This record gives sequence, structure tokens and C-alpha cells, in this order.
Amino acid sequence: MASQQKMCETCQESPATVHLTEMSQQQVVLERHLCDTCAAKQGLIGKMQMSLVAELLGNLKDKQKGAAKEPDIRCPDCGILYSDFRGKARFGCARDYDVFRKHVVALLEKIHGATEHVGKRPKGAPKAVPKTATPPKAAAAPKATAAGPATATAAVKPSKGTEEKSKEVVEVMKAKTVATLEKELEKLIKAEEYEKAAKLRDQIRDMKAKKETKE
Amino acid sequence: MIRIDELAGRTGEWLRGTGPENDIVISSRIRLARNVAERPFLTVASHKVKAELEAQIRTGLESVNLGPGRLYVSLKDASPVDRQFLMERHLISRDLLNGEGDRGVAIANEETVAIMVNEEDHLRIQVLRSGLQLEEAWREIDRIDDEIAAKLPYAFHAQFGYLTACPTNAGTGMRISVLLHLPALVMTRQIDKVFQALSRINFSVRGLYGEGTQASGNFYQISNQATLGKAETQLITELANVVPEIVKFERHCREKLAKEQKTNLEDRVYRAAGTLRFARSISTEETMELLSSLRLGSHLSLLPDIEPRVINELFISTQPGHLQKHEGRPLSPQERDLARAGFIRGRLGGRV
Ligand SMILES: [Zn+2]
Ligand SMILES: [Zn+2]
Repeated sequence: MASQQKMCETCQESPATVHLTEMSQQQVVLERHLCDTCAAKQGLIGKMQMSLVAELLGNLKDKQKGAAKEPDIRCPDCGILYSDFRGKARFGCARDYDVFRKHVVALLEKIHGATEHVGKRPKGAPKAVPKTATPPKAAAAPKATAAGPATATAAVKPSKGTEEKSKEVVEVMKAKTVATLEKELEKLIKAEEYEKAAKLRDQIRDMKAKKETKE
Repeated sequence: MIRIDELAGRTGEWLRGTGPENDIVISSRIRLARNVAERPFLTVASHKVKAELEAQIRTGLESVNLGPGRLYVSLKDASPVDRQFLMERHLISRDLLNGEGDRGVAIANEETVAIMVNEEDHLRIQVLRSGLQLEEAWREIDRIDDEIAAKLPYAFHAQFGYLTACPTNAGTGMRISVLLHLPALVMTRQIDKVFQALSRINFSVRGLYGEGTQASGNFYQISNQATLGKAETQLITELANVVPEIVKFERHCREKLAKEQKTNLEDRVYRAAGTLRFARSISTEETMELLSSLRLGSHLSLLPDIEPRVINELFISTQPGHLQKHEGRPLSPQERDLARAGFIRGRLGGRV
């Protein structure tokens, strides 16, 4: 049962604690196993932040699978579809926050652990948080045909940036001890059970935190 | 208005190594992401809209007090060497460098203020300070942000705060980064512990030039991850509380090295000094590694004849863009290695 722990692929010295799967531009899945030091050297620890968004968006998507298929939503101002946003993790305009409100609230909660801004406001900006604000009407998008909706195509241009940005980090997790749970976690990820995986990951994190304080 | 070439001959305030905790903390940086109200985000903006936005923002910024010595660089018109040069000085991001179309950066006050126009968001306002000076940086950027808001109304939401193209920046739109030099934590293999602790409390760690770059020279940037749900001052306090802990740990490891591995450490520092003073050809990577040892030695009083400021400057001035700017022409990688070695010999007083 105890298979050997993977060593870092770069230095071959320390156990691999950062495991990630990335999708290259050619859609090739690359599996990488690195120690913390090498991961940081290669800038991969910072990457986790962006990959977290991708992961969370995947997670939200899974949640919706069970529910009745909702029509895609289109922002009447900038023309992007919710599916565009989900693909790129970038909004097209300020109004998208209200148009995709339901999804945005869930996403912000996952990213920041909060859904309400606290802090500075421009002069004259509304102070109170309208909790019962109704989102503005959003035009339901017509079903995409083979030709595709013209406005959406025009709106979607390839995202700028470096190769590193175009790679989508599909899954990132950090782990060290608690070997059995980790293996289970790996299985869940392979099976794309992101929701369960996220829970387990938090559990492992807590266990580690406790262990650390005892030391 | 000054020109970009004038920047090359001097050093930004943040590189002087004069701020608090400067043996370990290189710089404190705060960045605010802002978008102009009623305009599409850059994700969907056409070339025409991008051009309009750049013009609108440039005009708006003209009457904002950014401090003395202002400069605006249009990235569309800038040469590849100039773009690289600005990125190496932390005045623009890799994304702005690699972007396309109308975009630029306003630089002022000895490079402590830099406002990127048409990066991922319409505005990316940055204030940089040497050493650990987060509160000072906040006071400055808060004032500049207020002045800009009076000229260019921002996209702001009563519940979600400042609206940004990426949901990871929404709310305050604020990213705080502290750049640390942690050679002793790396040498004593304690750095993993620090990373783990930081990631657990939701801080991210990156290299000298941000995401996707190597943490060469043992430089690490620590930043906040969440930007929504906490006030700016709280986010600053949280980072300001954690940095002294890392600084203490690094100092402890430096002292330990100096005591328990004295010969080892001295050998490393003086070999680095020797190579840097006499080498005829040297890569960026080797330079960063050796300068890191030199910097450590300098702060442990092993190199009284080298000013810490000179070492700090060398980390930036030996980067490819800076060397080419200094030589006044594009150089091949091999030519750069020769020029780099010569430049370092000159700065460190290599005799031969
Ligand atoms: Zn490694
Ligand atoms: Zn929109």
C-alpha cells in the first residue's frame, strides 16, 4: 500500500510537495511534481492563485450539472456570455458583475471568502449595501448555432499575455504529510471530483495546521 | 517632462536600500486596479476603444499630482529594449510589455509612482518604496487614487467595490507586495517552512519579476491573495505583521550561518566577490546567484569596501534590457555576457 513518495523532478533531492497538471497550448496535459523550493523558483507558487480561479470555476460548473440546464446568459452591454467568462475568467464590462450576479457571488465567496466590499469608496459612491438589489435583466442568449453568434465572436479575442498565461493550470494542490488522504485526493482529482477534492484538501490543510502548532 | 533615457543614468528611490529593514526588505509596493466607469473592460475593447481610453486617461492624469519628474511612455511606440528596461525596473508588468495596441505608463517622483494604462484593467496604479514602508506607500497611493477618481469616475459597485476584469482583484483592487532577500533561509533549507506557513494564511510567494519567473538571487515577493472583504488598512496590517516574522527568521539564520558555518560562508562570499570582480563573461543567472552571496556578505560586514547600494543596483542594471540600454544598442546573448562582466568589474572596482 505504501508506494514511495515522489521526489521533486527538478532537484531530485526533496520530496515533491507541489503537484500540478497543466494544459499546454497544444492541449497536452503535463504532470509536474516539484518541491516547494523548485516550485517557487519556477514561479509556480504564484500560479496557484490563477489556477485557483480555474479550479473554482470548474467546481461551480460541476455544481450546476445536476440542476436543470440553464440557458447561457449574455451581457447586453459588452456582449459576452457567461460561458465566455467561465472559459477565460475575465469579465467584459462592469455590468457583468450584475448580469452574472448569482455565479459571481459564489465565485467571490470562494476566491476571497467574502462577497461584500469593505474599504474605501469613491466620493459620492453609495454607502449602503443593497442586499436585496435585483439584478438587471439579462438577455438570454440565443442557442449557439454552427455559425455562432456574431457579436460574441467579435467580442472574444485571444487573451494577451505570455505563454505561461495561456497555459491553463487545471488543477493545483499542495500537500505534504497525511499520505493516505493525499492519495485519496489524487484519485478524486483524476476523477474530476473537484468539489469533494476541495473539501478534502481543506481537511488536509487543517490537519497540517494543527500538527504545526503542536510541534 | 523627462525622457526614458534619463532614467537609465540613475536609480529609482526604491533601489537605494535605505528604507527600514533594508538588509532583508528590498521594497514595499502597493498596486490598485481601477477601471473607468461606463467603458468596456480591455478583455473586449476594440482597438478604437483602447486608443480612446489611453487618450482619456492620459488627459485625466495630467492634472493629477504624481510628484516631480513626470514621464509618459507609450508602449506601442517604445523599442523592445525600452520595454524590457521598464519591466526590469518594475515600472511595467510582463503583461503590459507583451500586450498589444495602445497602452502606456506614467512614471513620476523618482520612479516611486507608476501608473500603467490599458494593462488588464484600465489603470494599474503603483507606489513603490524602499524597505518596509507599507503605510507610507498607502498614504501616497490613497491620495493619488482620490485625485484620479475626481477626474476619471471609476467603475464601482455598492456591494462588490472596485470592479476589475479578473474576479481575483475585485473589491479593494489592491495587491500589496513586499520584496525580500532571503539567502540564509534558502541556505539553511528553512524556506519551505516559510512558504508553507504563508500559503496557509493566504499569502502568495513569487520571484523577483512576478509570476512565471524564477526566484533567482533568492528574492521573494510576498503578496496578499484576497482583495475583497477586508479594508485596505487591514490588508496592509496583516502583511505588515507577517513580514517582521520572516525578517526575524532570516536574521536568525544569518547569525547561525555566521557562527556555525563561518568558513563555509566566508568562502562563498569571497568566491562570489572574486568571480564578479574578475570574470570576463557571465550570465544573468550566475550574476544573480553571486550577487546574492555578495549582498549577504555585505550585510554580515564581510565586505566593508562595497556599498550595499552598489550591490542592489547591480541586480537590476545587469539585466539584459539595462545592459543594452547602457551600451546603446541591441546585443546578442553572448555579447551581453561579455558586457555584463565588464560592467560589473567597473562597478565593483575589479583591478585587472
Ligand atoms: Zn526541488
Ligand atoms: Zn458586459
